[in-house]
Amino acid sequence: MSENEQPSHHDQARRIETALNEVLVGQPRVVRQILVALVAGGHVLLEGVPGLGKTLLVRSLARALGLPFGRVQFTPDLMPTDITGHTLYDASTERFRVRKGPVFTNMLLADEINRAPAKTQAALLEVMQERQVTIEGQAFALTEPFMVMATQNPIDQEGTYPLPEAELDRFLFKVLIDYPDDRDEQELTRLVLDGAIGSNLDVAGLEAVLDTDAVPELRAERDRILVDDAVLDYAVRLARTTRDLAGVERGASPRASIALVQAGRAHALLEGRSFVTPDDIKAVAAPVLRHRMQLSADAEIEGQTSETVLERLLETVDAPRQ
Amino acid sequence: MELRNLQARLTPRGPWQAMDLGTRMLRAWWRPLLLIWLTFTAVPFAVLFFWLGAEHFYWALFLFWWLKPLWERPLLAFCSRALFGEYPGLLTLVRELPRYGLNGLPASLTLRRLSPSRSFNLPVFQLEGSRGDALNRRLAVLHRPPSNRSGMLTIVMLHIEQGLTLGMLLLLYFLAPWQFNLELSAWLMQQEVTHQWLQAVSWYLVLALIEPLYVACGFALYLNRRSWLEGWDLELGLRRIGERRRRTGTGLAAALVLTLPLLTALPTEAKETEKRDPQEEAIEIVAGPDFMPLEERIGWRRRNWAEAGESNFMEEFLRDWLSQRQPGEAQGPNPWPARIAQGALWGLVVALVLWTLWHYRHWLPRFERRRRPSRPATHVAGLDIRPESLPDDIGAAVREHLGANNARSALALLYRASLSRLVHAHALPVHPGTTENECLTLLRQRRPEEPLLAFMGRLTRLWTATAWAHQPADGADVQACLADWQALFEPEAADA
Repeated sequence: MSENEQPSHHDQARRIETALNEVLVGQPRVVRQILVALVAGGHVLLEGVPGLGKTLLVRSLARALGLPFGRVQFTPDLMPTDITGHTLYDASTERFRVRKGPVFTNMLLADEINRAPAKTQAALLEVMQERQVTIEGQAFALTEPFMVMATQNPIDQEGTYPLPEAELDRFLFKVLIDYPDDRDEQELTRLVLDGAIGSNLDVAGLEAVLDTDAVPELRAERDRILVDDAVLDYAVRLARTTRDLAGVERGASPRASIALVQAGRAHALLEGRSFVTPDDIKAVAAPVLRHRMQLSADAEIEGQTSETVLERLLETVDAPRQ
Repeated sequence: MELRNLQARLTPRGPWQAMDLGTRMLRAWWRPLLLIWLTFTAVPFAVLFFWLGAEHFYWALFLFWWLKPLWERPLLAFCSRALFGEYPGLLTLVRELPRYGLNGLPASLTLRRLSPSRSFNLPVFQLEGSRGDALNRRLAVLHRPPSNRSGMLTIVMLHIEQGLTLGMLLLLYFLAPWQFNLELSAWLMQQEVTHQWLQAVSWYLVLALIEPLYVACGFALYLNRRSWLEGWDLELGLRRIGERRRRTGTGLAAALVLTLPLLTALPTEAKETEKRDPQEEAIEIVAGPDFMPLEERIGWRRRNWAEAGESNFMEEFLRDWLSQRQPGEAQGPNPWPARIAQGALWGLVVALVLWTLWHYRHWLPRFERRRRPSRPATHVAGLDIRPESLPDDIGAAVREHLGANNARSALALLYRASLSRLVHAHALPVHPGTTENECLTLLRQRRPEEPLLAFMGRLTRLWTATAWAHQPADGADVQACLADWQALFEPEAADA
């Protein structure tokens, strides 16, 4: 039945996952969530302190998929045209020509996105939503697959511009990346010392495990994953319950329900199933919902966090009935 | 020091009123006082900081602070003379510095440097010139109760000084263009040379305002104390009366000389010379407005009801309530108002508790969750697993469903029955949000027996595929699961 119905796609996904886990040691949960977002066709907001391999992860993913990679370091003086591109006058031809920005790539790392002002953030988020760039009235479509992985530092908030709710909602996942445990950190250090991983994020040794058409194929296969009505109802109930949850000032939008189901499908594909179970929805609930909820001031003072609220949500919302 | 030349009216005052006199002195003489401060301290301040440099910045600050008693002496020298109408010039003060500046200076800079009454004691050292035991006795007399509040003056001035210094630094911070990206904590804690100079100059400018005020207030407290002890106001009053009487006597004599010829020419009536009692005359003088001016004060003070012989309802009520006096036991007030008030207070307390519970009701689920493991779940993954919701004979009911070619219902019943047994008989800690795979994970953690795990794994896979993948279960698979279920949960039925 289900387990081996999608061997080729499941195997493809497993190969990427294995390759990434060999590079990003001790972060299997993060790797899984990034792959789910990739298959679901969403963008990811990565939150973690510096030095945990966020850039390495993006470079490795692009390398493993054989896709171009771009990186933009967000700073307070970054302008929208620094990302999207602009026109410039070519004296030799006496014509204006378009100079495309770093956003014209497949895998884009927006490093420390919250260090740029809202105007610049908005330029990128428009690209994420529309998947096209307009320069001087001319629209340029981005090549698929297009995925943005934005990072932000949870500690150093001085001089930052927090992403507004509407912009946060554009991210499919917010992934928290934490320190690896003791054993994994030892292994990581050993790998770097042995030269298996370049200490300067060199991923030249990583082979492309899939061809460039693999991602669109995986996404097409994702759309064929069966979602039972009860599972869909469960995803909607989860999103709706966040709006009435004690300690939550602003709950998740309807986009969250869609994101839960799409990400649940991608998760089922990575698990090698052709149907979505409530476990798939639960597995993606935290990264889908944590940045779409705003805790009340009272709850924050009481020491509650998005994680504790989500834990309570998943315990209290009844699993679907059949 | 000639009291007649006093520029202020000295009367025995309270300490805070005396300090007001100090503020008046500063307002009257702020220009010469500021000039004196700058003249005597600006050069030492600059020399000290240039000499010790940035490396010993805090030593320079400390040294200048420690030498404060020295910087205060010219200020006091000016105030003490200006109060009696003599305004010494800068050159005079500089020239006479060795004379007034060294009296008791070693003690001021060592043993008595940290005295909170520094400004009050300064006139004793500088103006009276007492030394040794005489100085100690003199200070003991001046510091006799009631307190002169000179210590409080020092504390208040210290806080004002620090507050103004911090305020000046903050003002500079707020005035800095935002492009500098200054961070407040870093700004206040910076160790750069320029910043150290800013700190030092801010502090120095604040001292230019605070130090003259501190010295003037301390001097005013000293004068006030002496007025209390030595009756300066009495002396001045008597002198004023004496002068007036002298003037009156002279005028009377001149008038007599001029009018005597006329008086002798006119017929006069015999008149008895009035002789006044000297004691009565003295009382009249002392009671007169020149000698003892009347002062009218308007204010509030608590009324002593017991002395007034009147009753106060609120006081009586509280006393009755606190002492639990029974109604009618004594001459207490009517008990009913007290009872109503008591009831209202209790109502208020209950309402407050209820409001608190309602307002923080979202805390309650936490406690509920802690208690939950002791209560078995009734529904898991949307399935009713209460024992009473299941048929008595599970095997017969499953077979009946299979006979009706309804493998899905048979499998659902078997799955429900399995969960019910695990939850109620084996206390598997599940909750309404638990999914099928989570139940399996919990079982793996709590009951890692191989036959049970293998059975539940197979049953869960079958049920999941049926429920979520819409793949119909095979009757033979369900039959096999039923046999395993009976072997595990109803061995007697399986044997039969």
